[in-house]
Amino acid sequence: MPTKTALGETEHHVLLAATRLGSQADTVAIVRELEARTGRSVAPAAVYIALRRLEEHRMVRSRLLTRPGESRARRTFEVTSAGRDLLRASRERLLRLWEGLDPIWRAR
Amino acid sequence: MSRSTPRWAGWLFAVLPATERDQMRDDMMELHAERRRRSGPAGAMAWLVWHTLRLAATMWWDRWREVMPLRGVGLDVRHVLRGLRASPGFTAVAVLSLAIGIGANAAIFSVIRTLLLDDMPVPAPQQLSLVYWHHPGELNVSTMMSSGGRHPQSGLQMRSNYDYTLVDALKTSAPAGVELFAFNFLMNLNVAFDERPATTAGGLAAEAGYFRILAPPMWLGRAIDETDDREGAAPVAVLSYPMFMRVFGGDPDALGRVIRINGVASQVIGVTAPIFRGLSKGGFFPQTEITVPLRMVPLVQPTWARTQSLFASGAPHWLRVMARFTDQSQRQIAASRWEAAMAPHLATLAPGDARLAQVLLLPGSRGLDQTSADTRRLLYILMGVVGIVLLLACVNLASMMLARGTARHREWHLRRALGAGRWRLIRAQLVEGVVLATAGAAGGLLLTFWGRAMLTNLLTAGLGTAPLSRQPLEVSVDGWLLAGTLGLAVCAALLFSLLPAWRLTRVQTHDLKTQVVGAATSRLTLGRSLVAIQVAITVPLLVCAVLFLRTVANLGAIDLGFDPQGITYFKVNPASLASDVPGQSAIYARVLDEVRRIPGVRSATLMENALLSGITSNTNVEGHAGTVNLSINAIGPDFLDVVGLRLIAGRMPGLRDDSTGPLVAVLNQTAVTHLFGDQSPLGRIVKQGSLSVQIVGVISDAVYDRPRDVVRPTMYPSAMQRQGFGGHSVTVKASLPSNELEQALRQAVARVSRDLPEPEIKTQVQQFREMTMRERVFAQLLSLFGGFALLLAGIGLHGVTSYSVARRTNEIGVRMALGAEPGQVLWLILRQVAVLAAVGLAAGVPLALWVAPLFGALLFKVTPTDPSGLIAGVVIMLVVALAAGWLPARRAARLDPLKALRTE
Repeated sequence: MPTKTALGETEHHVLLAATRLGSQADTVAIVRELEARTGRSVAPAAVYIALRRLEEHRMVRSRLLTRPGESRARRTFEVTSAGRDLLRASRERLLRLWEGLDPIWRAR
Repeated sequence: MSRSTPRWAGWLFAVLPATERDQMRDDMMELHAERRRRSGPAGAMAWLVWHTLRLAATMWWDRWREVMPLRGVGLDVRHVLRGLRASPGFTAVAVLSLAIGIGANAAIFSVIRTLLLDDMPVPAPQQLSLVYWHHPGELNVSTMMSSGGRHPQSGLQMRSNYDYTLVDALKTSAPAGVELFAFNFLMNLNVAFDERPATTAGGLAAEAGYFRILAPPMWLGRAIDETDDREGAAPVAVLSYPMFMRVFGGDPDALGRVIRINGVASQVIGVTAPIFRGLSKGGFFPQTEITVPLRMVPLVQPTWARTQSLFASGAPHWLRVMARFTDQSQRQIAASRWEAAMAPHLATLAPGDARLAQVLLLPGSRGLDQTSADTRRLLYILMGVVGIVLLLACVNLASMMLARGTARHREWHLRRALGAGRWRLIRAQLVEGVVLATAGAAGGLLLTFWGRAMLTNLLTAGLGTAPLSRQPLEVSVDGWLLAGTLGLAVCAALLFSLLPAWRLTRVQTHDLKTQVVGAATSRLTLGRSLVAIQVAITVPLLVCAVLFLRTVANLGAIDLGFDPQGITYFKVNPASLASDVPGQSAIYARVLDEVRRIPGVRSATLMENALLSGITSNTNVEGHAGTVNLSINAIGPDFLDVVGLRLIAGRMPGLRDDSTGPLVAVLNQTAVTHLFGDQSPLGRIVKQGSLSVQIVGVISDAVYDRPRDVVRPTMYPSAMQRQGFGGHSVTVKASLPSNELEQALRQAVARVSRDLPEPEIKTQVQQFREMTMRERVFAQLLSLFGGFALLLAGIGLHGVTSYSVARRTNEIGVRMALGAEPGQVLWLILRQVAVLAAVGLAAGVPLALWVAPLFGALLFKVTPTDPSGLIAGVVIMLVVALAAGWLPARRAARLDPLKALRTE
């Protein structure tokens, strides 16, 4: 499997949401988190496929966990160190791209 | 959460991949519950349906991408090739059986396409119609080169021909958007060029409209136009491409050269394109090799215009009509206008009968379609037979791949354990199928190329489409056929590799261990059923093959009434040298004279129609016991000696019974019974239309028309008093080897005149073989395919039995240790084979009883349900099955119990 060097937009969002949710990061929670933070409706299919890709590239790993008080097992995701590295690298790339643009933006 | 899932949602979630279905369903129901609180039940339901479907599509697509990407296919291919090389026996059987299946299908389909499906290569062929007609009354009219038959829809008796004034009337009354032209076939034209021997060509006489309205594609030069088709215009001709190659060897300088057509010097002005064969694909009316203007017919076919001008009213009906409806809505209008326009002409043909003719428009896109419904049906049956052969090849491969895969189960499980997904393994299996199919398709195409000419000849001769045509139908292998073959191969690959692939990979990784044991001892139920199916399909093929072999044997044993051995004949058409009976008789006399001088020729005679050629003449004769329809065949002197019939009473017609003397004839015994009962016919006069014919002798019976026919009442008049259709056949009894005789006969004809075409020489034995070709073709093809199916079934049985012996080695060891005799072990294994064969036969015998009647019309002196066929088929199948089981069974019986017991 070739190493992943860049993130697609959905992958980026999903990875951020999973990081934020920590040990509570299951698919439903990620969908909710994304909808709450972006204010847009999110297709579960997009989240599933993004998580699958991220797992294939070892950016996240998953386990089936049953939480106390629940009957069902949830596939719960955990961001790996490689995932965190890639997130950091993406953020820096974006920041570099934004550098110096903020004043122009505000002037409009 | 699943407890709260409503039933309809349960159905909805069924579209999700099974492995993740539960997780996804629970997730989706959770999100759905939230939506429901926010936006109400309807919106939430719409959301759930839409997003679940989208999820399913995404997941399946992702899974498909796991199978489909070409990444790794190269590796798969290499792996598969290595595996195939390691088992050459399997590979050879697989590729060969597929090649035979695909090749046979491609070849038969290409024949069907050419014979039944292909339109003429002209613009908008579907606009063309042959204009035929029907009249309920008795019409007093003679026709030239017409075809009748019944209209396929209405069943009305059709007439194909018109006279020139009728054609004119049709033209002037045709509505706008409808154009028509007149034409007719000229059976055998003698074409001579330079000093080379003349050759015979299939001719067509056509108006200039033929080239303008039909618009056949041209290769060289120009078409015949209105200036060529005028009274007194210089004679011209357009050649077909094969004729152009035959006479001029493809030399473009041929344009402007002068050839002699039936003795008429004509200038070559053009050549039609190679793909164009004319309005007939061959058959009774030959493919068009040379086209002349209508106005040239009185010159090249003087017998047609002997009594009056062909272009005046009252002439025989010698023309056919084809129309092009550029405006389809005009069809009905045109037909009714034509019916009205024909009325005044018909008034003279059927005085006092005021009924109108009915115009019948026949599809003309394929030209004159001479393929009979019978032939059509046979071709489709043949297509079914080869389809079954391909199916058998596929079933056989599926069972072989299954057995092979089962034998390699350890490899499969190892690969799965090492992380190969199920889909990946299926893909590997598919790749193996595609590799085999590609090799099979390539082999099949090679077989088609090699077998095409043979098959085409067999089929065209066998289906009775080519008794008179010199050019056999050309069956082409082109892009469409290639594409079709590849498509067939891919379907075959999917069919025979998917089934085992699916079956073999249905193993979950976590129960690897149990499944390894389970697969190793699997009873191969699927494989055994496949073999039983093979047996069931093979039986009808075998039964039909046996029925046809018996038919051919029965045909060979027919009592023809004469001995065909040593008889050779060829047609001589003296039309280009003399147009009247005395002149032609003189030429025949000279030819006979030359032929008799050939050393080794015992005797020679003339015959109007060669025996068993499928061509007969007949006439109504008034005798003592009323009017009888007699077959008629004019004969020359020495007829009895040549053919080997006996004179029973009276004398034979001689050379002196010519046009100057009274008409004489002899009858066969059957005719005497029909005409005169038990009275002597000698010296009696019978009425043949307006002619009075004296009966001078009686001869023994002989079959005339076709080998299958019973002896018909036949009258043999003197050949010197009757003009044959396209000339008489010179018939020779000789004891020379056929090639020497042929050469000597050619020289003899050339000595008489250079303008006589080079004769086409045939032996009576050849003729007999041709007339029974259809039966023999079917006997050969069915024996071939039946044998092939038998071989495949044998291989399949051998495969499953070997597998079963290998699987039960341990058990057999135990049995032998406990005292089982080798004979008992042998029977233990053979019993399995016998059960499989019995199951197959139980299905195959009713199948055979259902299929065989389709061939009923072709069988001779044996019924489709004849027990001999069934018994022979069943016995052959059983023998092969037991032979296939014998080898592994013997291996089992010779096992060393100690070794067998140690086998894992």
